[in-house]
Amino acid sequence: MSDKEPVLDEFFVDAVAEVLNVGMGSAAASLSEMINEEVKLSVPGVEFVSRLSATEIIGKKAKTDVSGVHQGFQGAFGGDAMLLFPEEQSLELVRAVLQQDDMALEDLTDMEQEAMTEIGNVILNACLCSMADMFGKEMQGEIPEFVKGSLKQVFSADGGLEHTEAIVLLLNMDFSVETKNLQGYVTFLMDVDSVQDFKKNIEAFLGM
Amino acid sequence: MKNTFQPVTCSEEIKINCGLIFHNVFLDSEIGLIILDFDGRLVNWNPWVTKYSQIDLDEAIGRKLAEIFPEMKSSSVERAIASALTSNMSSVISNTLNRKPFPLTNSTGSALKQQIKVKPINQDNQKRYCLIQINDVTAAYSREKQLIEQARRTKIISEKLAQEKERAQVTLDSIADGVITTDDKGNVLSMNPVAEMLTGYFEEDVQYRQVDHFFKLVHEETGISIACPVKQCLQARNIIANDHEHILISNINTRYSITDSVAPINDDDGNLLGTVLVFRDVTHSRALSAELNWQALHDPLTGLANRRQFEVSMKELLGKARLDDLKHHLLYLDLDQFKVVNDTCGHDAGDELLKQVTGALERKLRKADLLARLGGDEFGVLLESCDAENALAVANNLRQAVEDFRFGWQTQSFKIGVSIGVAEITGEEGKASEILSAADAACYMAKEAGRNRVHFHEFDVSGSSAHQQEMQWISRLQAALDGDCFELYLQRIQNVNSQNVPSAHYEVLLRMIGEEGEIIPPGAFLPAAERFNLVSSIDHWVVENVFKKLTVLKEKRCIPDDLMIAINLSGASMGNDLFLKRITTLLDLSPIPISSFCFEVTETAAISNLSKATEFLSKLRSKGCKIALDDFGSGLSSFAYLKDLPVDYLKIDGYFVKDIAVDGIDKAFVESINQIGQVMGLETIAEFVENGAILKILTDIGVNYAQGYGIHKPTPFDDVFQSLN
Repeated sequence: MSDKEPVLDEFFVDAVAEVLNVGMGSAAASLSEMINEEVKLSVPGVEFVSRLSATEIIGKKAKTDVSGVHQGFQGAFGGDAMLLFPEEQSLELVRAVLQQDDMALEDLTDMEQEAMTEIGNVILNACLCSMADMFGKEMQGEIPEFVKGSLKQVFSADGGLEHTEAIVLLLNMDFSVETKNLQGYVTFLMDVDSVQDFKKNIEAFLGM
Repeated sequence: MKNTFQPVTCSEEIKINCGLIFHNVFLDSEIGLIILDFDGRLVNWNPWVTKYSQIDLDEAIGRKLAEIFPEMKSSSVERAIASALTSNMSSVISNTLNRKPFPLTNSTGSALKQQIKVKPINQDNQKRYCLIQINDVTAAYSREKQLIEQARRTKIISEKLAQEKERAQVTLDSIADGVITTDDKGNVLSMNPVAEMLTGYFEEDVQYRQVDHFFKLVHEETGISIACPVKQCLQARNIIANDHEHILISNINTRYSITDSVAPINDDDGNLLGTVLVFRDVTHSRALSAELNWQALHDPLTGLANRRQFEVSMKELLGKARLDDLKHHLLYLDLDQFKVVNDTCGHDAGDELLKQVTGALERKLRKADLLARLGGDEFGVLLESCDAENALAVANNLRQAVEDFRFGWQTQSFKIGVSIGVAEITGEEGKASEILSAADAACYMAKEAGRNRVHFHEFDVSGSSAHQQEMQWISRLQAALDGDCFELYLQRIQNVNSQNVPSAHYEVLLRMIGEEGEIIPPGAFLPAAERFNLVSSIDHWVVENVFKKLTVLKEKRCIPDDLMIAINLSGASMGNDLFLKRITTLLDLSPIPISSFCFEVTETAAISNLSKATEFLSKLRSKGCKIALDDFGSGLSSFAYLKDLPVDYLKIDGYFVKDIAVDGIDKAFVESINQIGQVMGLETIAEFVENGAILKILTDIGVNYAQGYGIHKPTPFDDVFQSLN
């Protein structure tokens, strides 16, 4: 599978975006309740790209390191879901959520990392649940973990994918909390078999 | 895929053993483990949960979480359980965001901080359970709180430090002092802009270099290099301060006078961290104060020490003289004829003359000798460690130097002289001012003795000082004037062409009558009278008494028709308008023809007050009197001013006449004066004609008149006229 060859046509992509946005709505509601502050989430764009392209696209936004939440999933198809922010944006997000604007530390503390994990967890669970609902299939989400490092480190954390032609379902995500607007990415990293399964599931969902 | 495990196959025995181990692990875990069934009812929890919840397992089994812990209704945990059971999703619930944690407390009663993980457990038989793990993060949480607080404080402190540093930097950048800081090895750490400007180096060029490589100091006067004060400070560990005499040489060899100080910088334990060097450019103020000091103690015209400096040095020398046996001397110099140059050629000429004479004097002195200008044309010399003999020799050298000196101004050349008084500086003399007066008095004596000579002051053994003696002269002269203790004498001036017939031409001379009735010659009292401004009064007395005597003699008809009577007037009288008026009044009332009066003024007096003398004498001449220029030739070798002066007779100075018979130069001198006089239509009179030989030569030269002991000795006024009768 090459970068240029479209994995799924636009029609599919729009369907995925629509489904995910529904999931985002429930995630935002949960988050708002959690932090007692209105949170808005939206997925303005969805695309399927190679892992290399995904690295390049996210790399344009994140000049230095990225941090976020990684969560594995299994079921109808398997892979790794990640919510990623440029490092400074994740810091800003957590501190906006925790209302600790004047933090002295330049890195997320353990507790902040944990909070970040929880936030990511809510979003990723919502995405996974939406897809499971969409396909009417069982999907299992694993315990999420906080990740941090260069894009390359983060993407190659899963040794299993290293040698596999993998494709990425890449979601742009807008996150707005308090007066801040932040942009992050949700990626679903899957191997070829999973992508084929995914495609079949979408076709089934669309009644094709 | 990650977390996709192959099912482990093992024997039943192992399974049983493992089951036991897992059971024990479950019981002994230091985290809370809660297992719920698909309906969310409690299946089991481990003793950890019992311990911190204080709720017995038995009471809780089979109940839903919200029933066991009512406060957790609608909590994140509840939502996570639902998500696990219905959607198969795992969740993490952080302590920070969790508003409804498990109501767990430790032994001290405080609530446990919790990190909770909720995940579905899918059994082979498709039954789904939910596993809740509770981690106690109380300790980690408080550590982190502390860490955050510490970081916050550190941030505040570092912000304050940054502000302080900024303020210090701004201060350093804006102060007028140069500031350089170094480490404890003398390597430069920082420089402010003034330091950069004065040294000529930029901070980045010299940072971490040794400060003495570019901060170079020399002694202001000697020019010798001075060890870098930073090094001294590092060794001494004390403040090193220098207020004066340092020159900083910049990168481009500009020299700055600076004051500098270095202070060590120590930490709280007294360990030396480095130094701070502060220096200030005082070039301008130092130059200014040096200039002021110099001006206060020096004469701006000649650059010599002034009277004040001279007196200070003299006092020091006097102090020394009291301590040791060394002899020191003081010279008091008064230029002769300076006034003439000043009056005839102007002040510029006078100033130039003083400068040139200064040079001439300096060349004859040792470096250690102090030459000072004490007043108009008065100089002082301090000769340290110099005995009387040497002092006299030096004085004479100076006198000779001035005598040999010729002052040229425009087309004229002047010859001047100097009178020098010498006084010893001994510890016995009370005050410095007394020594100065003594030298001054000696100088006066030198003048009195005929100028251009040296006089050594002898301290009066009788105890009366020179000053006292002079004071006595004032009272004696005053008394003589008041008591008419003077007597008029006459000396005949003989017409050379009719030597057989005694001329009726006389010069009036003056004698003072002493208290004992002794006759005191004018040489003894006239200089003192000049000095104390009594000479004009004496002129008055003479004029009044001559007219008085002539009136009496006229009544007695004792006056010859061709009488010519010459009266001396001093220079001081030249500017005296009242006196001039009095003379004209007397002339108007004169019993004899005005043309019978001649007034004599010395050449020096006339030249010294040339304009006034010209005015004064012109008035008298216009009345019909004759004017004679006395002592001609003694003052100047210039005839130029003769054209301006209203003169009838030239009286050739006796100094040239007395040796005319033996001295060819004197004869030539008299010849030339006579010739000039004749050419200008003046009649010449030779003084000091002591014998016939002189008279013979004068006759040959063609001088018109002769006067002197060889012709007629001064005789009391009345006696002359009685003899005429």
